[in-house]
Amino acid sequence: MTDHAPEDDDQHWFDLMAGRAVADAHGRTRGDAAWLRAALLAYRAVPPAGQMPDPQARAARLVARARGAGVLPPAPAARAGWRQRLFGQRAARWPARWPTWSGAALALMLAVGLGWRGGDAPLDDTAAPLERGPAEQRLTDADPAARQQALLQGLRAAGFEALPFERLGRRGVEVVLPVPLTPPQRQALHRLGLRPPEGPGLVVEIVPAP
Amino acid sequence: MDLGAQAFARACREGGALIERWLRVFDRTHGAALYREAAAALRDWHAAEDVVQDALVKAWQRCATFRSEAEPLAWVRQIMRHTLLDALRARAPEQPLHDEAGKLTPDARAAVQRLSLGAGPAGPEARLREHQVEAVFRRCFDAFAAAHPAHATVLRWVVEEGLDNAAVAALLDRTPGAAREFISQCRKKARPFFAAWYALVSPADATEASR
Repeated sequence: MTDHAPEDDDQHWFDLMAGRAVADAHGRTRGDAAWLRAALLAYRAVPPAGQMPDPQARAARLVARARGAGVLPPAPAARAGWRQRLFGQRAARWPARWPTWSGAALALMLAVGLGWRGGDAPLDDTAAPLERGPAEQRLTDADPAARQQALLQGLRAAGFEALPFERLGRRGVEVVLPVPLTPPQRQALHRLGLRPPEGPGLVVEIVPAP
Repeated sequence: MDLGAQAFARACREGGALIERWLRVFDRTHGAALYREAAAALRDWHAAEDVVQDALVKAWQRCATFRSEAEPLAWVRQIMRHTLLDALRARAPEQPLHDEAGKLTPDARAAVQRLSLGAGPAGPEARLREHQVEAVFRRCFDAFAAAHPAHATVLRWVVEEGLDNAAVAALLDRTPGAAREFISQCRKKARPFFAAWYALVSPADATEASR
């Protein structure tokens, strides 16, 4: 019989519990694990008394939770609410497309009034080279570590939740974005050299300049 | 709707209606299994809903980090299990079972005695009755899960899915050394709670388990 250090014995027990063969496990450890593993496999966990939440109701709560967390944009009813608040109940009878048409007309008037100064637009939708679409972008910098820190500070200063990462020697920042982004938030991303995505997630990878 | 990796990545890029649809279809297709798993560990359907839905929201907040070679279901389940372990840890502050000399604390000793007495008379006929063995096992496991919910839950996953050290470390978000320590703790913490059941099914192992 082989004597094992206690930590080795625990590791053998763990491997046996997971169903892996351990050639030199202690006999008692083997028995201890075999009984417990067999019982855990035979007597599966049972859910508590009561019923699982109704699928339709729980899906509605899930979507509401996703909206609350900023993963989904506000519900259409919530977006239309400003009309009712401003103009009362009659506004609810206005055609649903009214804001779209009025917005387009307003944009046209502004464009004519300003002499179509599109070339001076502050936002550039090709700000960052795209890696795998707007949700995953890549920046190039001579000093990736410094750029990562600067990006992190800039994103946090703009109110975004941002976390640094380093994977396979590549640095980057993972950002949680609210949906939809407000104009100031979009501008903040542009200022940092990033293209605002439509979805809630953004990963920015920083590679060394060649 | 397709729930595969490509559909997930597309919804992550485009957001809005695609994510909402994905969430609804995912909940309808895989929700029941996840809710049951969480409810079995938490012993509460409402708490289980919180955990599963929190995990789904977290998954979408971090959707850009999803690697397309993985399966979204496996990824979401991993996040759900992280969230579940956090909920279990927040719920029950752990009490030390052993003193500095490695002996059972008075409270733990009393718990073992209570469970041993709870097993009832262990005559030869009773030992042959599977339902009684199961009842004792479930009582022991429930007591273990009540005292150490995270350890009990991880132990079930280890047995049911054959997790290795690396998988446990990833699940717990710990270093390999800390994961190994957690595994040792699983065994130490489980021992006194299963003493009564070991005595019923395998007196030789009961001697070992109570040491």
